[in-house]
Amino acid sequence: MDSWTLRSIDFVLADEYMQVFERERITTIDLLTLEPTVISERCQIKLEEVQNLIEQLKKALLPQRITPDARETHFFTTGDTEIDKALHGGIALDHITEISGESGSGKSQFCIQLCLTVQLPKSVGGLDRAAVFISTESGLETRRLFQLAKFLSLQYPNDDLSYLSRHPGDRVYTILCPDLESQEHIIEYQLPILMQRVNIGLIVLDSVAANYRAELRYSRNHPNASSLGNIATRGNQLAKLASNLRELAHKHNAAVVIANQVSDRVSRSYDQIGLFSLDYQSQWFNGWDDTDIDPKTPSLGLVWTNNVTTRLALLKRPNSATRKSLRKLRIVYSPIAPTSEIDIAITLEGLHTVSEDT
Amino acid sequence: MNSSSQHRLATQPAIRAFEAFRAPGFSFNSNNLDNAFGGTGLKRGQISEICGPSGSGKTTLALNVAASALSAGYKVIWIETCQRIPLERLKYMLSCQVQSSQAEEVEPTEDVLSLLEIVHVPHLAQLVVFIQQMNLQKKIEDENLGLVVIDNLSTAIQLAFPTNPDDYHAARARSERRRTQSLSSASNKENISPLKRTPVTGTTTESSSSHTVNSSFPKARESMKLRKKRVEGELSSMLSRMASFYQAAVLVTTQLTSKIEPGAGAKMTPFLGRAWTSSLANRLILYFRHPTSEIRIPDDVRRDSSAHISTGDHRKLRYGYMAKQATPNASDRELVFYVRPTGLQDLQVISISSSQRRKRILSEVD
Repeated sequence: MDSWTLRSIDFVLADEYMQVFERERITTIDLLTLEPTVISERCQIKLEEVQNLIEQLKKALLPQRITPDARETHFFTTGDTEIDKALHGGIALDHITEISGESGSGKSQFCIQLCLTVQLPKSVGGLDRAAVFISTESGLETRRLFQLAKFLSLQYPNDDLSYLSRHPGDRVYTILCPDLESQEHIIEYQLPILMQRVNIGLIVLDSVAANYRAELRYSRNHPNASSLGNIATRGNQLAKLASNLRELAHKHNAAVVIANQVSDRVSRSYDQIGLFSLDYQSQWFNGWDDTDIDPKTPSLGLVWTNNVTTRLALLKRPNSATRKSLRKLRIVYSPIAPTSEIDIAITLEGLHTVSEDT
Repeated sequence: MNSSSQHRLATQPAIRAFEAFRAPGFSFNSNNLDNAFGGTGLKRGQISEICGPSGSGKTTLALNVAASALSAGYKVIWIETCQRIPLERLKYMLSCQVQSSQAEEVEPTEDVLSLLEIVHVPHLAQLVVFIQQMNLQKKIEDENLGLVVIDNLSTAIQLAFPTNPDDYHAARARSERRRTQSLSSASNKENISPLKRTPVTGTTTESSSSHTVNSSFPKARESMKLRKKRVEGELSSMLSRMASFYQAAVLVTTQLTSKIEPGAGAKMTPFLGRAWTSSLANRLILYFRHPTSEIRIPDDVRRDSSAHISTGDHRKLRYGYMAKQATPNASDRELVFYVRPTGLQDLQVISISSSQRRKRILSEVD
């Protein structure tokens, strides 16, 4: 019985029914699509009871219709107007945004920056809301948080950001998830409680891949029974994770930003047969393709890709002409904004676009 | 509720069905696509599917069609499963769209938008209940309904039917057997390159029967795969009923999943299988590729750039082919598009030989 569907609509099923349905492997969808007589026979429950239960369930599941004027998409600023423009507004609420890149590409920096910009007053593009930073690696770099906060207040001189610059961490909640089990538990049970107590506008998960890669190992080049099973299990867990985060994002009109690790992209040559191979098609939705100098692939595969609404990539690319590393922010896909690429730099003041005269 | 009413066919005056059939469809804002879908775009009373990877343009095309339907004065229900409808883009398309001949004067965007209703169904169960309700209520509640969009269906189904690792083994065993059989068939030789096959070290049997690994389960309990198939079929018939009852067009977007083909690696394949496609009138597959020498990008398109320039023309191109068509007329053609803010702009139509076409057809999941 997929209890999470019921939980999300606050439908409470009596224990005796729960047990029977679990035993007979009857899911919510089954209750809606199988003949009530079949369910009644299989579970040994009176037909009228089954029909009654189904009626109640349907009432609880029936969605509302919403009018467009109640549905404006809201954003908060990334701290840089050019990046906001490329994203057609900034970081979207009720939305999952992924930022992938190599270590050192600036993912965590960007996430820390967003933990600050979400706290900014609405007048300058913030939400005046808190952030929660869920780390699966080494935690939030508080020194950097304080450093960025100081510069942020300099960026908006007309507004009184003295409190933010002195106490930037007051409204940033941090959680550390050392393994997959704690990660799942925290996101499924603890995070919802936190969000009910505190007005959180941004959920950061840095990074989503770490615990999955450590625990559910597989190798694409040498697939065997257990590794294929792991891929399937991992896919299910990722779909569930994304669903939980989407639900929170929707319920609280918050943004979700997820950092993802990358691995090297293996370039292969293709003929006609390879057109629909994952390796070939993924050049357009992974963020890197074979024309890039050192192409990468975001972790966690196609199931995860299919659950990401907006995908951004941070590129560190050595420019052999000037021997300088040019960084780029790429919008790989987004329902809100077209694909594009912006030159960026990461300095003391944070992650921002490079102006023409620099 | 009388359970047999779920299965009764919707009856309606024949004249209405005929009118809807003859009425112009809802335009994709692309001549090539409108032609591929029967001449004037998405027809009412039919279910169509747009299938493709992330970023290929599914939602964009759905927005175009929604804009066309709204501009023509029809009600549109947009069902979201995991991403919000990009309203700003819809408004932009509405403001750009050429007025349809049915409207007499230009309506302000807000009035046109008032014909849109949005339904949020993060769980498949909610979608099922919604469609059931649509099929039970009196038609007058949504009398002017012209289009229902479901964006997207595959994520909702995947969430409700997690992959069972055991099913994976069974599927691999089946595809191994199929491949062994097809290798001996002369007509398919060009599809397969003679690569070494990695031995499967799983628990699959050598038996040539078509039983799944779960065949030891008692009949009363279906395997996850069979359940999913059954529900896909149910959804298909429920949507057919709805399309026919309201004489509305139904457009469903879906994603691709991947399956490992021994020796060939991971192949992308439509998420929904045959239980679903039987009721489909049209299925458009969107995909990506590097332009071949046949593609000529016009200078004005090449020069057209927003403030942010993307590297390489290949990022702005989109391809499509009709895997299924209500009125077959373009199955040997590859449609090429260029991405614009207004949607997918027609670039070219490439004829592909039948052997090339066979190689491109995505194998369908059972």
